[in-house]
Amino acid sequence: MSVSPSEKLTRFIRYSNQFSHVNNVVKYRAFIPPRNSPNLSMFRISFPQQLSESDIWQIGHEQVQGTGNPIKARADILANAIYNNNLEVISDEPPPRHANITPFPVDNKVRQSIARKLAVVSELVMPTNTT
Amino acid sequence: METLENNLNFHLPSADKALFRKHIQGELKEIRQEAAEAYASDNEIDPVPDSAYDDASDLLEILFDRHIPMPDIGWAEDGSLGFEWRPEGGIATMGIYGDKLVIYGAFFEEKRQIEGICHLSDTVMLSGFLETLVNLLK
Repeated sequence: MSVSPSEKLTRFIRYSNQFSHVNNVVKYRAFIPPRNSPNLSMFRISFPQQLSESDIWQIGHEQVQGTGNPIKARADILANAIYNNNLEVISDEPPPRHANITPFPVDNKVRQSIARKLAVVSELVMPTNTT
Repeated sequence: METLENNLNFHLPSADKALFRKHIQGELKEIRQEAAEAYASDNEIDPVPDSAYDDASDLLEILFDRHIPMPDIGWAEDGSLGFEWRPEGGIATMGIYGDKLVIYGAFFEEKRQIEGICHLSDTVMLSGFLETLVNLLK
């Protein structure tokens, strides 16, 4: 099932080299999936209803972090930005609210081009003390 | 006096470069460690090949010689090393996979973009992008 262009998505970030808190930016590297994966994992945070900040972080802690690296930040982005790059956002549950940006092309040059454009329009969100 | 000046002129850039090399080797060593730790903890991440660090070192020297500000450097989940600059309202990147190729691109001023791929030794193509980069970072 496709996701509406007006929906807000988030990508949870576990590695500090994928964002800059000082410059308040998401690095393009946060939007490059592993080499053999056509998918980039996201979560839908505004459908069917807008989640609270604490609910969003809870998804990250429960569904992404697991026992691995802690969630350090997230990149929020409108689905419309994905569609503008000739990619789809497809619901991929379980887990609830999970979706994939797909299909990432095999060509590294095209992948890097897409990642640049997504990074520029994404919004860095840092965890708050209350979450 | 003249000899001293000549010696200074000759030695200072070399000293700068030696310091620069030491700095980038230290930074690449840290990135290599981070990437290795991430790869060890997540089997979906691709490892960064040793050759990518060698290519990154070579590319950084080229940037240094062109007086281009140091980029943000880091590993990516596809096993590449990425250089990134964020000029006002835009982004410029260079990606390295360890195959002696550089994937470069910039996106700025509301949808203006340039991008390409070239061999590390292709000074003509690389120079074209680096000139754009210099202008973007002014």
